[in-house]
Amino acid sequence: MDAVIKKRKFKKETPVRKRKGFRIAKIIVFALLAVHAFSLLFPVAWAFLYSLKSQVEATTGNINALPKQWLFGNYADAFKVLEVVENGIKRSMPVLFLNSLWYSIGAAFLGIFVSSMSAYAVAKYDAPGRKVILNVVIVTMMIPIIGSLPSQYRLFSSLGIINTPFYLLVFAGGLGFNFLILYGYFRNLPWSYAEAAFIDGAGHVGVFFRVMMPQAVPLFTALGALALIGAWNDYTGPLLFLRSYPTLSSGLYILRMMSARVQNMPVLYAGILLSAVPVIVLFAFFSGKIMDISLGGGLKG
Amino acid sequence: MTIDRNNGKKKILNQKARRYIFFYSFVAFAIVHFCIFYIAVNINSILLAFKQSTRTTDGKIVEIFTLGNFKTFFEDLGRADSPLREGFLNTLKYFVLGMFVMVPVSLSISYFLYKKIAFYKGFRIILFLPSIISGVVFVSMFKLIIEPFGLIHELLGKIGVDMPFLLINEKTATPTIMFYVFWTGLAGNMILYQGAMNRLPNEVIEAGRLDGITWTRELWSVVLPMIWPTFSMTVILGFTGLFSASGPILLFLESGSGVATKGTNTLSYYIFDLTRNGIYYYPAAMGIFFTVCSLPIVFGIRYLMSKIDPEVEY
Repeated sequence: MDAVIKKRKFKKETPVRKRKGFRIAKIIVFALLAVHAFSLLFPVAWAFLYSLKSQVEATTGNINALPKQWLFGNYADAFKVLEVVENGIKRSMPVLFLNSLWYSIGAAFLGIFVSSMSAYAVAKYDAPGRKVILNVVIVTMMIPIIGSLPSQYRLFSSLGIINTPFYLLVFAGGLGFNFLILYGYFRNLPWSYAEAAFIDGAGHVGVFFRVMMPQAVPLFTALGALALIGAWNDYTGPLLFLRSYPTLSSGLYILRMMSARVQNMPVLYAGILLSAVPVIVLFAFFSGKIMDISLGGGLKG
Repeated sequence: MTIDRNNGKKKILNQKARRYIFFYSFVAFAIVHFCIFYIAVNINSILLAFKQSTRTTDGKIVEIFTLGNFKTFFEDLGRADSPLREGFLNTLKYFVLGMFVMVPVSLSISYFLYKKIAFYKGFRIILFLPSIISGVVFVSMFKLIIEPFGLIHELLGKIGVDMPFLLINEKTATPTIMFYVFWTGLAGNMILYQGAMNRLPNEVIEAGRLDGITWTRELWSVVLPMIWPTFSMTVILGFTGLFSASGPILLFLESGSGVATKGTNTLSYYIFDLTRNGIYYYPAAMGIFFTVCSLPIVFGIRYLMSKIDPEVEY
């Protein structure tokens, strides 16, 4: 009898032991993530302290000590002093900021808008060529194209879009990653709303803009925020293709290349940190929606 | 009462015509864009790979068709000290790091965040910071701390440890940049994994919990099969980037930065560097070769992923 009771007790303890094991795993993972999170935040704080020093202190003093004088004015100086010189033309931080604005907003808007149109049409309308388009999107995403940069440069040169805002057309592709996400979303949207609108006399274009698009606003917001952040941080595209329109990312990269002897490094770091503020604010607002983006619906098709 | 069948047929044809007009007008721009920025670019890439420019006897520069780019490519690949060979080997290192270290770690972190460990919302945002802040910013901060006479150098010096100059030494420069990639890239696929996990039906997870399965069994036998389409897509896309794998070499290799220029090359950086210096034919040939090599690998992985697919419907 005692052996039976012991056996039953042992069986009841097993799920408790397993939950204990998961609790230990959670504690270990929490500790590791906490260390990792600290390691990511610390350099930001350190760069902030560095940006408050004077140029003399940064170059001749102990760069690892706390600032002797806390020069918050370096942040205002970043707007006045930092300049990128390209082909003899000087461009200050406000200009870099404006270039970043139109570049990132333009790239995000064009990419999302064109993708939403093509994704909606392919998701909701049965027409010859629909499956071909869908298969082309999926197959081309998996074809590894390496070394197309020289060809892109030559083609963009011959199209006359290098060093002009028309370079934004490159981002207006409607058959990429955004297409897949939007295709999955539109596919799952009930058609009954559209049918009701058709009965009320709406046309296909009206149904798209007044019935379907408003329902996809949360997804547009998330994809738009991601695209905007990506374009804001892009430095290789503007470096190669928009030399006359340096953005904050490409401009600060060019400034970083200049010697510390000619550059006020704390002011430069103030500029570098300032350039990150808009994307941090954007992400803080939309992080929930961004985290909910899913590939599932688009893949099954 | 007569039924006007012809009018009915006309109405249906009109509706069909309007649907088709709408469909084709909505996909037209995307298709034209695809033809120009994908098909034309890649056809041009193939043509460039077989061309070289040469000066004629009357001083004109013309393009000729030749296999010379591929000859140079194979010669360079065979030479131990060539930047191409160095770039190729370093690229493979970055790929192994990304695919076989960072993908499993990213998946595991996503799982624990999905299980709502303490401070999970904060971790989600902080881990994602390197993805939302420009590489220019993060590399600058990273170098500030690990450079000669930087913070880590000074702290280790206080305890008698002589830290090597990691980025200057060509043997440690690439591992240091790889560490940077690992340190900042853990949240890489987190958004997609989190999005897929958030859609898992709670009843299935609850049923597993009531059956007393361990967390490892839950992750491996319940969560992973149910998010398989998302997971396999990230693996396939990872293999698609096999020969593009790299770190932010350009940001580390600023002029006068004191970073070893030898030993840090990757294929992506090498192609970028050649292109910005006005050399187009040779990198195009490189690209064609590695694209052709990647194709069977990617399609093989895709086939393997579809074979393993548990095809869980929910």
